[in-house]
Amino acid sequence: MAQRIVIDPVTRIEGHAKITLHLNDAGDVVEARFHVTEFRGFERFCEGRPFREMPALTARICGICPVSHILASAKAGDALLAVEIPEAAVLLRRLMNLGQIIQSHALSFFHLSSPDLLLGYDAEPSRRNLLGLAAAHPDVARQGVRLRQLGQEIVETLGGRRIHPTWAVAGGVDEPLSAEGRDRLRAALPEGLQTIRHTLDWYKRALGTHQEEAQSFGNFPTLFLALVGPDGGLEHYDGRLRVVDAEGKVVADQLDPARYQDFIGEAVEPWSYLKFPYYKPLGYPGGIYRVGPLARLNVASHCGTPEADRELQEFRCLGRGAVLSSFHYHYARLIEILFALERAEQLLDDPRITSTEVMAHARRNRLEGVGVSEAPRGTLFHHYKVRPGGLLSRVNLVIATGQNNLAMNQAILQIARRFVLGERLTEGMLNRVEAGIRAFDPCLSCSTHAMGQMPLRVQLLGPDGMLRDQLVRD
Amino acid sequence: MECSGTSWSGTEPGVLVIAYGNPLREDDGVGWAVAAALEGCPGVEVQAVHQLLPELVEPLSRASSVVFVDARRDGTPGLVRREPVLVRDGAEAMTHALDPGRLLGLCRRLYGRAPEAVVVSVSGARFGFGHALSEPVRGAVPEAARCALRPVA
Repeated sequence: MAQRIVIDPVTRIEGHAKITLHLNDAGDVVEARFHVTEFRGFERFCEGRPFREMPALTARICGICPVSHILASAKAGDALLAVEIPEAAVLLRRLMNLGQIIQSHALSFFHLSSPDLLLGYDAEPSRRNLLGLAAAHPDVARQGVRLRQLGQEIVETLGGRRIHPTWAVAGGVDEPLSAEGRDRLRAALPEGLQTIRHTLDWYKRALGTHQEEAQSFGNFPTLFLALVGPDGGLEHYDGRLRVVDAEGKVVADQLDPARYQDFIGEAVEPWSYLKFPYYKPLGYPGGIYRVGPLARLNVASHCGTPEADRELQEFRCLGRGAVLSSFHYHYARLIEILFALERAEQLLDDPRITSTEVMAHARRNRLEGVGVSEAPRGTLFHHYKVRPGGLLSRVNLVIATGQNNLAMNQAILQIARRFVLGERLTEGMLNRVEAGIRAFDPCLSCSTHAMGQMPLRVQLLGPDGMLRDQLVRD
Repeated sequence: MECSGTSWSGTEPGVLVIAYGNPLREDDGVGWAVAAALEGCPGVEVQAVHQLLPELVEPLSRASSVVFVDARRDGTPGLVRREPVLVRDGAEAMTHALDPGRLLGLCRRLYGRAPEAVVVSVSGARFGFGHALSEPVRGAVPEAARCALRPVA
């Protein structure tokens, strides 16, 4: 029998999104949807591959955060081997994760978002990018370049290259850190710390001029989810999961990440390829939660490094319980860069970090394994099932951008209700919608290396479903 | 081609070679092969990257001159060309990545100077999936490496 396959929507891949806004008879925005129209298919085409290949394969999911996939994948491999990896391997994986957080957050803040913050949401789109920033604020652009370079240097020193380093594997890491490499990285950190202190100073001074955006860019109650250490402290590599509510109260604590399916459901909608994870006890869509830097700072009881802990206290003054506005993802990213630099210093000062014992050798001992780590954008789950020979029979990836999907859609609605007046779209409105999405730093933007412009289509639909207005930015 | 000695440490101005392209797309990876041939040449720092990104401006700002190595689609496969790069300013049409001229423009904006630069290009024959270079492009790698080492005027 003839079969008809329809792919709808069809559009360009890599970072393309579509937004639709629905109006009622009175012309008010009643619904908004953020459609992610790219389809990658990694979960399916990794099936049948040996599980030991997965760190290298899944690194290709993203050019910005390959380290996150490598680490979550290697940890899922550790679980399949049923081994405890050497101490030095844990320290080195932690260090590489911090390097990636530094470079990814620097990209998001300096290259992608600071043009909005410093040049204004109503600035000409042709100027609202890194080159426009370089012209108007070269010092800020230089800071971004240096911090990103520093994060990449950490990744490259450990993994041998900046992008897609196939270094962390099931059982540990391939190469130890040399004393020379340790000393070089250690010497580079003070400049990074100086830079981020300076950035935090000017950002906090500038925050007062963005009050309108802070109030309307995804400012609503949700749950927040992230890994925490045994003492409830900020954790990016290991630990267990904690969920807090909008008041900052702990809803669930020390959840075993390997049992994520007990408390995280994944819904799908016909209008987006991005899944909609939710917190199961509250159902769908009531179980909306956020992950990433804002969630991590809301969830953790403390950071565990002196300067970041001081900044966290100040940050918490922005909310009565949890800090709710997604606009403050920017602020949280800066605090996490500070934390990552301080923590990297501690790790590099640990004499165990240059140990050459970096690999546990074992055969497959289990048929199922889950690896979890905190990616720059939030909690990342890799869940593998294998056949006795070690070939994968099922792969499930729960990525951070997906976990923020419900919140991103709600944020779009909030921004549209605040800024869309009447039936005409303006460039200023489009800019704010774009900036509101970018606050979450979704992977569909950063993986395309978009500099100041995210390909975007905004449609305004009347109650009859007819298109009233449209703005397209390629 | 063989080189030996210490590569540029980055503390003294030297020649920076930035080879870029995708080594998983056949001849698009010729820059990586040229970079490998130049590794270890005295006074030369070599970076092989997938695309030109803003953070390259920092090492660029410290270099006395820069040589970009890239594949190109036009021309007889294996043809090696060397052309000057003009600094380009302006933020219009920012898309996936920077081109050499805009990278130099960003460098001048941020660091007050842009080094003299040339691009050494090799015309490719195949740009499909695969690691291997085509025969004519593989044969052109030594010439491209020699071309990259000629002083930048």
